[in-house]
Amino acid sequence: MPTLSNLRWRGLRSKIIAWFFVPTVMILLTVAWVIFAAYQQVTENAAIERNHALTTLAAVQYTTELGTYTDLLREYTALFAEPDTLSEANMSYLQEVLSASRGRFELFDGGVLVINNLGTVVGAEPARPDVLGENWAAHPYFRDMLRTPKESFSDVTIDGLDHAEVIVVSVPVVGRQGQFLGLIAGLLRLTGTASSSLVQGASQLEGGGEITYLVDSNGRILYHPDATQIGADLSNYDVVQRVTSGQSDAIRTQSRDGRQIVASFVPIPNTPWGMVSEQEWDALISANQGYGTYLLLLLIMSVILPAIVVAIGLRQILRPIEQLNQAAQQVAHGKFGHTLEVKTGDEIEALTKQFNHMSLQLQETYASLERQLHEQLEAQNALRKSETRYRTLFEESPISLWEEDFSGAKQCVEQIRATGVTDFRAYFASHPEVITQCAAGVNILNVNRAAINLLQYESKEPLLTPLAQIFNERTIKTFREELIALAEGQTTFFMEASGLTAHGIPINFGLHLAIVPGYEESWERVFISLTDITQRVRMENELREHQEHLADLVAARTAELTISNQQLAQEIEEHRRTETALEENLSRSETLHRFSRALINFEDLSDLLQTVVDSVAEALPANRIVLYLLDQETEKITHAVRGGKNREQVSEPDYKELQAGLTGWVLREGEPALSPKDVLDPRESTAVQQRRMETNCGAIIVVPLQYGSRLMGTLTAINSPDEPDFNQKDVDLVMTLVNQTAVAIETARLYEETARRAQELAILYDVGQKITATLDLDMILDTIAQGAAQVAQADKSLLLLVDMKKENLLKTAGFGYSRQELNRQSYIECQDGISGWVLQKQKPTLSADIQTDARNKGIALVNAQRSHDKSAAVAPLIIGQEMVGTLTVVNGRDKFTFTPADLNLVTMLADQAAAAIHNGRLYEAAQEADRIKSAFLASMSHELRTPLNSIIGFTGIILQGLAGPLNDEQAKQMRMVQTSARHLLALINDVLDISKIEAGQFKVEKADFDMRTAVENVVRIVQPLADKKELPLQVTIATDVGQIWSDQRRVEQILLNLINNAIKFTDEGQVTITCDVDEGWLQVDVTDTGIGIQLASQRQLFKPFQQVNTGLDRKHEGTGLGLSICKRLVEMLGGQIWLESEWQVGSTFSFTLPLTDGS
Amino acid sequence: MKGKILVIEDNEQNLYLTRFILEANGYEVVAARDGRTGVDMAAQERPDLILLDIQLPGMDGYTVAKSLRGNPDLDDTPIVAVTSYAMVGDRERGLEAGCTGYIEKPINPETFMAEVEEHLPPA
Repeated sequence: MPTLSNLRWRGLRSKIIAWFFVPTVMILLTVAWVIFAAYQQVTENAAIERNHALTTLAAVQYTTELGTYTDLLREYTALFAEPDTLSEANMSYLQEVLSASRGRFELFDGGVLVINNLGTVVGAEPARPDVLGENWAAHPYFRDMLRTPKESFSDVTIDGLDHAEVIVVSVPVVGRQGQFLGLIAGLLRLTGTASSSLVQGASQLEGGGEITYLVDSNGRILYHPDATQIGADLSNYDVVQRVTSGQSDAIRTQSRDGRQIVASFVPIPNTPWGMVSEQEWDALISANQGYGTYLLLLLIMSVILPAIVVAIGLRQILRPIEQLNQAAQQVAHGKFGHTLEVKTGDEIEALTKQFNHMSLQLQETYASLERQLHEQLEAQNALRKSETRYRTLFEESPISLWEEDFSGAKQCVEQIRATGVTDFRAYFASHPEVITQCAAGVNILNVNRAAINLLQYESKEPLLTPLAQIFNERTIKTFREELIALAEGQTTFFMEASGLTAHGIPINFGLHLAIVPGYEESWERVFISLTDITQRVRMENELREHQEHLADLVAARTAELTISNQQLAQEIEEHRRTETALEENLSRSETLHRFSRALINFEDLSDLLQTVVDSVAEALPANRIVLYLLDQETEKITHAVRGGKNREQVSEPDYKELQAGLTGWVLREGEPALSPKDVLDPRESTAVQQRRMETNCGAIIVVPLQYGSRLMGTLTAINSPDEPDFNQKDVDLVMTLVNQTAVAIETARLYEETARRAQELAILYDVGQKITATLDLDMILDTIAQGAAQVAQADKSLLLLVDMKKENLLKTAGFGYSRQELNRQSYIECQDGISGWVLQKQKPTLSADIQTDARNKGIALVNAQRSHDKSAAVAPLIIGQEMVGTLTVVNGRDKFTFTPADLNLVTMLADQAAAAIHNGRLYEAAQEADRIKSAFLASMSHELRTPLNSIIGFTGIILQGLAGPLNDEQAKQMRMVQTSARHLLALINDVLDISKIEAGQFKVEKADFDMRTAVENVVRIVQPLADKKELPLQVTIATDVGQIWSDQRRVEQILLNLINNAIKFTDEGQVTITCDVDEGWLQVDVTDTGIGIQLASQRQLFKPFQQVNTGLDRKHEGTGLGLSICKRLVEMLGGQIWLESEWQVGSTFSFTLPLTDGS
Repeated sequence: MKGKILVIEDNEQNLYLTRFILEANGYEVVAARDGRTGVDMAAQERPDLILLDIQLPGMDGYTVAKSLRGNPDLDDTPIVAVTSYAMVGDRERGLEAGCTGYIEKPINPETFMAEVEEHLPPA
């Protein structure tokens, strides 16, 4: 089996590397390379561009520099602007001018020349006599200048016609009319020293590169940092060619000495020159040298990263596979049930699950195999043990055992059977020799020790002799029986047989043969056991002899026994009868018991009576039972309950008919009666006797239903003629049942009566409650009418209130009547009816039938169905001596007739009603009086205030000065009028308040308000009063005093009153008001240092119209009502008011108020 | 002239008093001596405010207030009951009948005007 280690490089790992790693690396490398190349291209271009830009900038700067040359020269053109200035004749003047400017021309190391328009050198500085007067019109440069004069810089040219190489800067001299007069030219030596002006200007050139040089249009180097190069001819150098042809660019190229460079070149404006800046390529790119490192890094990364990824991936993939492989190896080595935990979520996990499943299956299968093997081994062991045990059992068995092989005998029997023999017994009887033949087919395989002992042998061997050889007559017979049994298909067989022991002693034994299970077909193994029954046989014989002897004895005593047997039979019969009687008693007891339970639990009389009847039917052999409950006063049957299986045959007699029969006798005598069948009973009338004979009637029992001396009814039981007669026991039973029933009925009656009474009382109480709870007369009347109907259980009730003096029907109320019917009633009608009788006689009465009642003159009661009305009870309503009305209850024809008890109830109600009506009337009168009083007060208040309004109003106006000025005395008197009028008003207000309070009309209107504000309001009002008496008012309101739920107006009234009093009764000292809150209560104390109040007076203080007199002169004005009103108001607001005072020291009036409604 | 006030008042002295105060304060006063006249005058004169005595001969003040309120022209006219009725419920009855306010007699000449002007819309 290949292992993973030797698979490694041909396995998954190499495949993944080949398919994923290598391509990935290659792709990444390519990408990295492309990115790098692109980047380098861009950066190089940028570098070149920058180089070029810098060079261009340098060129521009240099152009500016060059301006200084032309500027210098241009200054002089003006000096020479006169037409003749530059003529040869004027040379000395020119020379003078130039000499004067010597210092300024130092810039031009080649000197300065002035050339006129004819090309003649007319001036030179420094003085150059050699050239003065020379005509340079042929000079290549000046020739051009003379033709097209302009400010210009020359290429490398020669000084004069044959001198050293110079660069010429020339400026034309223009006349005032614009005509060309000549040139001023500055010469710069090409091979000048480093201090030459050209070099000085150019040496500061900084192009984009390391080396920046200038060339003229012919490719000659004008300036070069390497001075040796100046003047060199570069006309063959492509860069120079391009710049001289006017191009401006930067290119990568080879230097003249073959180095890789970047050359930037720019033509210098206004000159024929070009500037070239050369930069070593490597130096330029050195800034980008880092990119190489980045590239390398990128490359390395592009190898390493995939490598890591692949390594991790490989690990992730291979590890579970390795685990799987190891697990598989373990399974292969027999470690079944080895499972793996792989959570890769891919095919490997699925594979692992499959592997786990397989492994567990294997484990199970293997375990199952092991178990089977184990079981097999155990089975073998058990078999072996069983065999050994069997052997031991066999040998050690206390029962003698033979183990024999009957297979030969089987063959023998089958042969016989093959000849068609079915009856082996007959066959063997006719062919005794065959038995011996068959016996030869029996092998004795083994015998046990018990067998040897039984047959008194010394060893096994003699007993293992083939059966046929030890046959004798006895054994043959035994064997024959065995053979027959086996041949008949029995597998076990028992017989008693006899034989001889080794010593020839006869022995009786029980032989038991059994084919060993599994050998039923072959008979190869058969067990035979012998049990010694010699002793038993002997005892049986003795017993038989004894029995025979006993039989003789028995025979001798048979006669005696017969007699005693007969006695016994009688006793048994007697016993049986007793049992029957007992059973009967038991049955009756059960009936009684059931019945008693029914009595205790009964709810309905009819049900109870039916139970009685059914119980009797059960207990007696009667087929017809009937129970009558009678009302002896009205001679009516109130209940008739039937029972028994022939209950339909019971006739329905009336009371009188009952009297004629046996029932009549029982009712008269109060005794039970038993009338046997087929006998004429003299207690019955002849007619009844006759009918009884005619109908299918057997014996009769009639018993009275009696409680004490009260006879309630009877119970009759009748049986059919073919049933046995009733006996006294039956009568007793029925009596027992009936007596109990009577008790139960009586109890029920009492209970009902009590319940009814309780109900009546409840109604009366209810009515009483209702009518005392209200003073509304109409409601009282309605309640009474309804209550009367209820309490008397009447259909209707009618209450009439009359004024007998005025012969007027005042009010009607009723129950069961419509309001219309009630309203139609008139006084005359009342007088005509029984009501009229009651009103006259002033006593209650009953009328059994108002239709026939003589007192009723036909139109007595309001009733649309008057003819239906029957029974009535009428009670008078009497207040004091005065008849004020009647209360009547009426029942229809279908309802019961009222009894004196009912009348009693109605009378009671009528009395209650009278009292209530009286109260109601009194209340109405009181209300009326109150109303009158209130109206009077309102009126008086108004009448008094109307004039006061004028008095106070006008006084006020006059005092205000609105009606004109007053003198002091007038004003003083007017103020007195005002004070008196206000006092009068206060008096009226107080009287009105107190009367309203007493009339219960005073209402407080509670709302949330700020107590602090209320106190401040009042203080503001009384402050002038206090100021007038020069009394300080000290107000202390605790910080927690705030909102209160009360009547602000009233609270202010109380405060005003108390503070006013305090000020009024205090002459010196001060008045203190404190306001505090404590546990839901507000307390206000008004303390003064006034005269104080004596203890005796303190009690009177809060009563109306009390003012403590300080002497005969009533010094202090006041109604005396203020404190009384305060007290009432405080109490109405839920608080308390009190005072503490010391005579001549001062008083404190305090009151409390709840902060909220809840407290 | 600050505004027009109708005073319905049967008592001559009280009417004079009221008129005096009102006129002193610059109001034009029209007066009616009974309820019916008052209702008619209110419809004619369209006063800015009505002062109404409650106890009047013939038609009482409550009825007058109801009648006044029955006139849609007077919907916005305040009616102030001036009454010496001070029994329980007088104030409520007055407000129910349509009065805007209630001044108890005897009036206080010092505060009366302020109490009346409370019900007048600001000029």
